[in-house]
Amino acid sequence: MATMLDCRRVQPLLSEYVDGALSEETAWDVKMHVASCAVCQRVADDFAGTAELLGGLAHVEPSANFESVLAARLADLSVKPHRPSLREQVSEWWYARGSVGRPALASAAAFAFVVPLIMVTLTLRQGAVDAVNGTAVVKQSNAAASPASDAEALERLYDDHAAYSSSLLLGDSSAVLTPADSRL
Amino acid sequence: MRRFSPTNGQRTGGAATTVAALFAVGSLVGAGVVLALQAAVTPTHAWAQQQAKEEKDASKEDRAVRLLRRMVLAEMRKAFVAREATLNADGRGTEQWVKRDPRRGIRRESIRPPGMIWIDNYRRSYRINTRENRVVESDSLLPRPDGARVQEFLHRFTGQLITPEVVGEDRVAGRSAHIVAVTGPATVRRFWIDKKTGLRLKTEEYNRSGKLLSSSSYSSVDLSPKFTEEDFRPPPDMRVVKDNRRRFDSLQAAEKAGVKVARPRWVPAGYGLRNVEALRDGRSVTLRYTNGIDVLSLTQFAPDKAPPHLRKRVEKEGSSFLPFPRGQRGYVWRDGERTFLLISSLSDDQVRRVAESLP
Repeated sequence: MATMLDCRRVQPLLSEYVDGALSEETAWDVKMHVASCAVCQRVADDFAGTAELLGGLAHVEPSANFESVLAARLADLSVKPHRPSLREQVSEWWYARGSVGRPALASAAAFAFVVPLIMVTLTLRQGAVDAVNGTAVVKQSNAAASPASDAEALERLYDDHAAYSSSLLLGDSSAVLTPADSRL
Repeated sequence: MRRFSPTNGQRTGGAATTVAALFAVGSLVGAGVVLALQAAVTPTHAWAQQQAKEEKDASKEDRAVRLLRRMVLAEMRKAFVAREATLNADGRGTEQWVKRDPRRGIRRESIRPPGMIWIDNYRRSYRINTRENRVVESDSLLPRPDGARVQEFLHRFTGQLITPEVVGEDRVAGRSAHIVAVTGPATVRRFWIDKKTGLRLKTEEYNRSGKLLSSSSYSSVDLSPKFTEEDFRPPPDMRVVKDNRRRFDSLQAAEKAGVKVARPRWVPAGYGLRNVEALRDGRSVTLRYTNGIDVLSLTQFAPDKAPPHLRKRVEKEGSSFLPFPRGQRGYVWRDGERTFLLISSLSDDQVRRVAESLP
């Protein structure tokens, strides 16, 4: 979409926009329209509020043996004979390793856990720096980019433009607090 | 006709007639000379009117420039705290505190919605996101409190495409203000300037068709504020992220440092290159042009380095416009492997002309 969308085209998209389900280009156009339209902003806020309420409800999961119990009840059959649980199987396997194998296995597992954890932490930290510096824009070109981070790259370009405008002697420095981010 | 005196019978009529004749001739000649001289030194009526108007306009422009100079200097030299409200064309707005200390710099802190702080202390600039506990640090954006630079800058208005004019008076935040309109090629900015202090109390920006793009106005002003050093420092426990840009004042300086960039052969009259910003990894370079009140940012991305959003847009639609806040628009296009983004408030024709002028 090359131009700013109007309200009739934006409002049917707002629910998906709030859920983050739109394509990057459509999300940007909707975001820019919402940033400049009080009516659509209110509708988007309502959707966001509803989504937040739904998100706050407890998520009810069926019990692990729900299906087997249901099947037993439906067929009016007795419950099948006891099978050892996964925990029981693991416990049995663990104690079968003996007093030498258990510490060795524990050390190996700890090492295998800690090394990837350190690598992931370092990668995430570098990613955060890149996102702020603008280099994340390029990294996204080699991987599937999320709409949020792509929008951030565009917002950063606009923010720099607005900040430079603010620095002019006759510029309006209030522009530095009104970036492209529709939250503001 | 000769006349005789009844008393002495002497002839008196000849002398009187001569005097009268001389007087009449002298008057005529004198009037002629005066008229000729007046014609020589006095312009025609229409020309005189035009000249008087120009003199009046020049005087008005001088007055407007004087007020603008006073405003800029007051912003640099006076300490104040103000509560400011901004309003966009759609009626959505923000509120923030503005703290200005001539010695320490400026601090803007958002009230509604909260979470953003901008501090600039003449050395460094900090954009603080309190929700994400993050500070982005970069070079200062503030102009130094330098009267000579202000004088030089405002002098450029005379005879330029930007014309300032005093257009009225008003009251803002309980204070009397002059209104000065500065008309540029793309936008018109109006300033409400406090009569007593010279501070800018309100700013409005319009496009050339008269649509209000943004407005910012002080609702209260404290001219005897108390500041602390902490007001102009980022909070100590925040994660500081350094800017990774290199900035150059000229294209030559950028090229000398190894930055490769294409320069447009045409930009609208009055615009000059003010700044070149290059990411240290060479992935993009931005040229910034300004005419004093408007800014044009032209970003060039290295092959395959444009944000995916822009790449997809340009692959799908070719060159196209993107909306940005405050009346600004982006124009994205591709030339071979390079992708360009131009952010400005220029007209469509001007934007395309800039794009087509790139080598």
